[in-house]
Amino acid sequence: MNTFILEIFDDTGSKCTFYSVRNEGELSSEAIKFFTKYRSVPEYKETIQILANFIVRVIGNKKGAKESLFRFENSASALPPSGKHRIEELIFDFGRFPLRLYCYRISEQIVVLFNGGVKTSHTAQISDSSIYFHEANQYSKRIYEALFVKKDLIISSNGREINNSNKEIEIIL
Amino acid sequence: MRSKILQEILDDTPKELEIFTDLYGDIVDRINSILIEKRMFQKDLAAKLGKSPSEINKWLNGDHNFTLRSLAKLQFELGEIILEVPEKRSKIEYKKTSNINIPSVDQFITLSRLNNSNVEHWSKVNKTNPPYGIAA
Repeated sequence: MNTFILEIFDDTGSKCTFYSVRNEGELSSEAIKFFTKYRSVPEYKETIQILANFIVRVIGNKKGAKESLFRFENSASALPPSGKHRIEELIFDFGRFPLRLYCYRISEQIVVLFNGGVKTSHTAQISDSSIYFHEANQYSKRIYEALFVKKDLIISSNGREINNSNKEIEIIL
Repeated sequence: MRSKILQEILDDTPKELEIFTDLYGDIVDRINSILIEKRMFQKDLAAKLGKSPSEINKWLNGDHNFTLRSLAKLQFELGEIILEVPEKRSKIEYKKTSNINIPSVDQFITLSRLNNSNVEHWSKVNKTNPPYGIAA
């Protein structure tokens, strides 16, 4: 995996800060790619609006990243996560909600959003995005190691920010 | 800081979808909080409801539309209020609320019980202004 940048996606809420990852040399983070892609598909316009509001209003501004609002991605049997940096999906399961967004919930106050896709079958995991799941595992593993093993990164005292030693806005990993 | 695409999507969202999303979050959080408080697992709730654990998992985490019937059943079996409708007629004036604190269901119910003269009470209790204007 190439170098990537950990950057803020939304830190305006009172409960939770959302980060995403941007591959070096690219203009958009993985979360921006996800929202841009599905916003432009008429079939998912309402779905993406609900998901954006769920992130900003419910998690970001009201509840925080409570475990009950996420689901452990159990397709991990194909690629077992360590359990320490496990990938979760943001869940909005009302009326067979079709989109899933992969994320790494570091705490109730910090979540890293990756890319995701459409859940096309009742039992299968996100069928068109196994690559995003694979990538999410790689990103989160590196973030986990930088935070908790190598300790190159620290979580701020208020629990809302990830900082490197120079407190740079863009954190290169 | 908020990404531009996220703000654009929020700005395009119809108000009723915002309300729907808030209600969904409140209900899911409320049910899960009750389960935690009562130290109940989904399998315990399944037994109470006479459903399979997998069906209850769908109710709480899966492909299930909450209906009045299913919410009533959950409320009865959990012995806790999940959803409450205000008795008095209340008018809520919604504003564009992307960056303000949003009331929880409990706060919402409390708010709905207040009349105009008690808005000060809300502010005192919650140490904020009422997020939505309210008229009895």
